[in-house]
Amino acid sequence: MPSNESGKSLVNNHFSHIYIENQALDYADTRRLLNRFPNAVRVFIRDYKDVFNRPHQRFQFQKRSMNLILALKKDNFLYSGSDQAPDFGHRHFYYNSLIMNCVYNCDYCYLQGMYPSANVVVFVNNDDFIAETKRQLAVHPMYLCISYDTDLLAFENVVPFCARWIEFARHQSDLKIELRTKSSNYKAIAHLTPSCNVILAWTVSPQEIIEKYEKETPALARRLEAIGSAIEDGWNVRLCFDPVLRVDRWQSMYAACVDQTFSSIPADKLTDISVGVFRMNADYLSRITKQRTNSDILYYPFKKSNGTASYSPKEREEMSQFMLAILEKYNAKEKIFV
Amino acid sequence: MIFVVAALHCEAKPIIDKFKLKKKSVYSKLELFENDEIRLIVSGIGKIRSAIATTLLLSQSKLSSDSVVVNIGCCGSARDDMMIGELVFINKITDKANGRDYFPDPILRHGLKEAAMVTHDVPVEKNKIDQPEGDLVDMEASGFFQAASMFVDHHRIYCFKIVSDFLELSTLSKEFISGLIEKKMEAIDHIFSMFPGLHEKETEVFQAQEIELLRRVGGILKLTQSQKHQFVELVRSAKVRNRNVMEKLSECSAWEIKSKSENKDAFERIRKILSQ
Ligand code: SF4
Repeated sequence: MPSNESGKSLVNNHFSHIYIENQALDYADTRRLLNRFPNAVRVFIRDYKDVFNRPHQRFQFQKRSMNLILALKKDNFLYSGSDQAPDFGHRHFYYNSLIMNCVYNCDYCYLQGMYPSANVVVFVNNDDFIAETKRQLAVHPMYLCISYDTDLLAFENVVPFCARWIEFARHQSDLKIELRTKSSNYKAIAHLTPSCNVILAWTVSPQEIIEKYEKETPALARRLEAIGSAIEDGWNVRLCFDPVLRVDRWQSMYAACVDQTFSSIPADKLTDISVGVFRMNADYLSRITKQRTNSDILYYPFKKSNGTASYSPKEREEMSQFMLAILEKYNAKEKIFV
Repeated sequence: MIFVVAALHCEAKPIIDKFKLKKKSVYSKLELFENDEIRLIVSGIGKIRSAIATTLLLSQSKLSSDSVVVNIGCCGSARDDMMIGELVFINKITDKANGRDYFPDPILRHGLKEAAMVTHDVPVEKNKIDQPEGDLVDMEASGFFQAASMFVDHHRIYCFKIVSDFLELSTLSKEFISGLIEKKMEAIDHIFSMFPGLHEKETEVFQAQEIELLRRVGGILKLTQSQKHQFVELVRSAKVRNRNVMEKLSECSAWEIKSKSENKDAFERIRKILSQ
């Protein structure tokens, strides 16, 4: 964080400003957020896109002092799952976007290339998302990722979307939701009774990777504690070794990480494990590298194919096989999705 | 460098005096003042003039990643709880004529009051005002902001205003306006002193002698235009990844390329070396 000579920060705290769509004013979540940040400067806006989609913004500059935008989502309450994400064999794979952007700042995060702004948009008309999901459930069963372009659990103390969706999913026999996170904030949902319609999915990374490339996220040990508690309480838990990064000494880092993970997590209690080698929409990657030269992992000589940038097929295969081999020491092959 | 746009000479005067800016006789119609760190232009009243002056100032200057553009001036307040002489950070600018909004990024910890500004084309009177979009009124900010954003990213554009009246439409003397700004010079100086720390110059990936080396190797390898582009990107990537790339390139500068097929082979070798 930049500071002046006397050590005082030159930037405002996160959420020092809240942009509020005029039409979002009269919503309970708006009131909750305004109460949560009573000293925030309020700026009234017509449409969140006027602020969020402005040209000539600097994502990483805004990351130093993220602000909140409270808005109403008017359409696209559900998106079909992207090709980049694993669907775990579910035919009707969807995700939604309750919040756009994330409180963390991983170097490899595609949001930097996808969104023009680092400010966090919270859609306060959550009921409309739920209504649309119900409508879709009347047509067919659904597998729904609710923490897709964000980390919802990391934000749970600000808006309890996880709790709301877990309670909703509990009563929908045809719905399975996945809550993906790097947060150790399990205590925010620990009071809820586990539901078989919910999968809590934690991203697990070597501590060296966390320190260098997953800025602001909890340490591996803290994530493992949270995972351990969730398993103990009876939740379905998925571990995601995704993205696997090809850094110097990657094999020894990931091997140590897997060993550390299964020395504290009972493998037999896990729902499954997902492994994904780093890949990103090539346009997003190129947008990111135009803005920043301070992250070596983004400058790997990736191969581009069908609009996706990733390691070469040979490297990908080597990395997947390696991960499979180290994970199979602790887990049945059928449980591991690569 | 800090680029300042002020509408009136009496608004600019305290800044000129404080930073000992020297007058430059560059333009016959617009006054320009500068020292090593600050360039200030006096635009005249109105958003069009402000846009023209901002454009002139920025198009004729060497901009870099640490350049900051600032509009400073007086404004009226439609809000009674503002004080005359209050220095305000503008977090939203609405152009009354076309209804468009502009948003300076509120990242700097400036410690000032904040407000939304509405830019009008003509002076407005308190009793006749209808502007739910904001509390302050001026005649320049939207023109300034639009013009500045053609040259620099939004986070480097600032608008600070000093409340001079409550829209009574009485004529304010030059001395009064200068006096208001004068009283806020310490705060303005403090804000200016924060800019270099916040808007650090982005370090260039290549140093001058490295650019020279790239040119030399590109020439020796007889690279085509598209190969040159790929070559620079490869070197840039390898450099960010700390792959001792310049040493490797120096070795390549001893290669001799005579034919097209040799060029192809050499380019592939380079690609391999840089991709390790
Ligand atoms: S936790 Fe996920 S969404 Fe958040 S910054 Fe990291 S990669 Fe992006």
